[in-house]
Amino acid sequence: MARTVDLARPAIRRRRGRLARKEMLEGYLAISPWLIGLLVFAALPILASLGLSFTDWNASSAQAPAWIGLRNYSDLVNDEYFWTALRVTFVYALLSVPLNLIVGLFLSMLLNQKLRGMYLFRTLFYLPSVIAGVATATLWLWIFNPIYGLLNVILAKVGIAGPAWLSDPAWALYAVVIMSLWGVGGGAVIYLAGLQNIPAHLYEAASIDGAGRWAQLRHITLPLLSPTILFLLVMGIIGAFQTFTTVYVLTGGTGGPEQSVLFFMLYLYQKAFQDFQMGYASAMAWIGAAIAMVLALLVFKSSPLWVHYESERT
Amino acid sequence: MRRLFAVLIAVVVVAVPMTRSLSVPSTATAARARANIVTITWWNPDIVAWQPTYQALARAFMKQYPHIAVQVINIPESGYATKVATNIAGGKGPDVWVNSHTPEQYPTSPAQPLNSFMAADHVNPNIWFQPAVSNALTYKGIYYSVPRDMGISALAYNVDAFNKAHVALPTDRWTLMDMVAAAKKLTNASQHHWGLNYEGGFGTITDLSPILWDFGGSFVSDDGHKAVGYMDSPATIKAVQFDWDLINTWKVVPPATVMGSFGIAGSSAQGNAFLAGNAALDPIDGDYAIGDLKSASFKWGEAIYPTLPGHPHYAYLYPAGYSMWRGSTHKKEAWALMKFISSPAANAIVAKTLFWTPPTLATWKQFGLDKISVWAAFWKTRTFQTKLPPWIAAQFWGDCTTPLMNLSDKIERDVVARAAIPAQLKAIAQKVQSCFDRDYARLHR
Repeated sequence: MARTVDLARPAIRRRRGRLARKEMLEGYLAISPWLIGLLVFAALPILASLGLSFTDWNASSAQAPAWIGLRNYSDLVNDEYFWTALRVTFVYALLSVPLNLIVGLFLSMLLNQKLRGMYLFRTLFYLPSVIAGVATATLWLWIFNPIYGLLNVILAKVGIAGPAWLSDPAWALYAVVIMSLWGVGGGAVIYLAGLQNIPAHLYEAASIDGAGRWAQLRHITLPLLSPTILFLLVMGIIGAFQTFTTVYVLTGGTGGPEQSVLFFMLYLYQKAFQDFQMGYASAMAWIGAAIAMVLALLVFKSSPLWVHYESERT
Repeated sequence: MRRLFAVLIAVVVVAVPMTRSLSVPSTATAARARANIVTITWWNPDIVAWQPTYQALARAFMKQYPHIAVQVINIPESGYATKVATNIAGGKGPDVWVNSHTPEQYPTSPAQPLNSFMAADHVNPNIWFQPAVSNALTYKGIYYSVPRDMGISALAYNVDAFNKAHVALPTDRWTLMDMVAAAKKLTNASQHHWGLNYEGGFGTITDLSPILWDFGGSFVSDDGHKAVGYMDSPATIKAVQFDWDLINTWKVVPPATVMGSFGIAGSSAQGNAFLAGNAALDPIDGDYAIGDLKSASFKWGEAIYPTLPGHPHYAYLYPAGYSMWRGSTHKKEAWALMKFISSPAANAIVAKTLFWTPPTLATWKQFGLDKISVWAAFWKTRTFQTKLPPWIAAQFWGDCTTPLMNLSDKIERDVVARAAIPAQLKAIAQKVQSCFDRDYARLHR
């Protein structure tokens, strides 16, 4: 019996190998339209932009790209507005990402209450996050109008003289940070899914042991929500670096008074599609991608210290 | 096997229609090919109201040239330059387009030199066009564009507002101080009325530039390469301080924070204090203002833009031009269109709608535009001396003058003292010069 099995094993392995290869081929064929699209519309342009970053090319001229080596990168180091754009983006990320995380968590805890009509509230809070960026920015342009805007009118009613918001370099970035809270419902819904996965018996047991709400938040909710927080933190950092549409509409593409809201992607857009310096803009794009990657890696590296996965307990 | 077959079918179903649409010409294109009709494309960035005029020009051209079909394509202004550049880079540029390159950029731009075409057809631009427009369309004697219009400065005024305030109407003998005196009388900020519509931003026709030349100043040298010695010259400093006074001393200009709230959203008056009836005077560019002024709800007039006593008048002039793409495969046909649409015959069509100022001298005479009061200001201004506006003279103006625009913004917000302007301009001139030097060095690498 064993001999028969031993003799059959190589043949079985061969059949299984052929079957696996066949299935693999079929799988690749099935996803080939997507793969081709990824190569043609994403991978090849990304590689092309890497090549362009070493050239000097004005896209509005009839001249072909000229190889200049690392000159674009060294020019960027000496470009005052490059550093301004980086600083503005970093400050925005430092302010808006934690704010959105905290407000999103608070909102999700409210939306996790068992009240009648809660589904309506969840829908209402989620809706702003799916509205197009241009429409959102146009709406907030009017909310921030220094004379007729809703915000300053409300502030005036409580005796506060509101600032010029988007027209004041000291306040413009804060205005964009406030605006970022418009989409907090999207994060809240993700938190909500995480909250509803936390076993209720943990809260019951903690309650029996005398833990108050704050202790339950610190020792149960936050640790078990930490994977969700990690996800939202990484997406928030990447999103902050990708901020473009809203600030383009808010500032008319200028970057605001004294470049106070000159975000990284907006400056890249100006260089690429207003000044047509494609090589320079490509170099900027690669530096921006590298920065975002480093930041995401740092967050992932730090995650073992504060992220707790349910599966680690078993 | 069945699974593989299903996958292959799926790929074919997706891929075949895509390749078919790329390879099979449309029915209309096939029909034109059979009739030996050449189709050329003509792009413009202008507003919807101007499109019927473009279409009328195209129809008139096609009537004269039945073997050439013209596709007029209107692209929103905010994305126009990008779309032109990317299409040209992709080998699908327009045959004829409204071009915005600076003269210095022309030799390396996608615009086709036109002198050989002009010579072959005996077109003498000095006779045909207003002489002053040639400045912006040529480089070292070579034409790269033919003019669409004669975008030229004037001072528009709200007749009803002047009459209501019992202020004498502007005349061609006005000086800048007469303008300021009238603007002061017409300003009542508490009633949201101001004397002068001043849209902000140095270097534009609607802001400082006409005044700058009147003072004898200039932001850059005539060739656009130098800022030091121009941006920080005593005459330029005086002009910028005059700008400061308009906004912060005499306060005859609406604050920047309220500019966006004028007019009904979506109308031509949106963001325009003059068209909305909130400002009584407006420095205008004949090109874009005439069409908008037609929608004004008040009686309006025009005068020559004033200057300082004893100083010469300058024409602040920037015509838009039509260019031909170097990569066009229908250059003969494209030239035929350009010759037609910049001719007196075609501009007779423009003169009937008057959405832009015709560039051909003969058209002005034919329609008596030089005698009509609201057009006479343009007619007189065209005879004044002129130079290239700074943002046309300096091809790196957009890249290098951010510090200057920041100063303009600070003046509007009254966060820079009048006395600090000389030092600010000196520092800005140095920065701008460094940027120009860097960009020109890059150009000549």
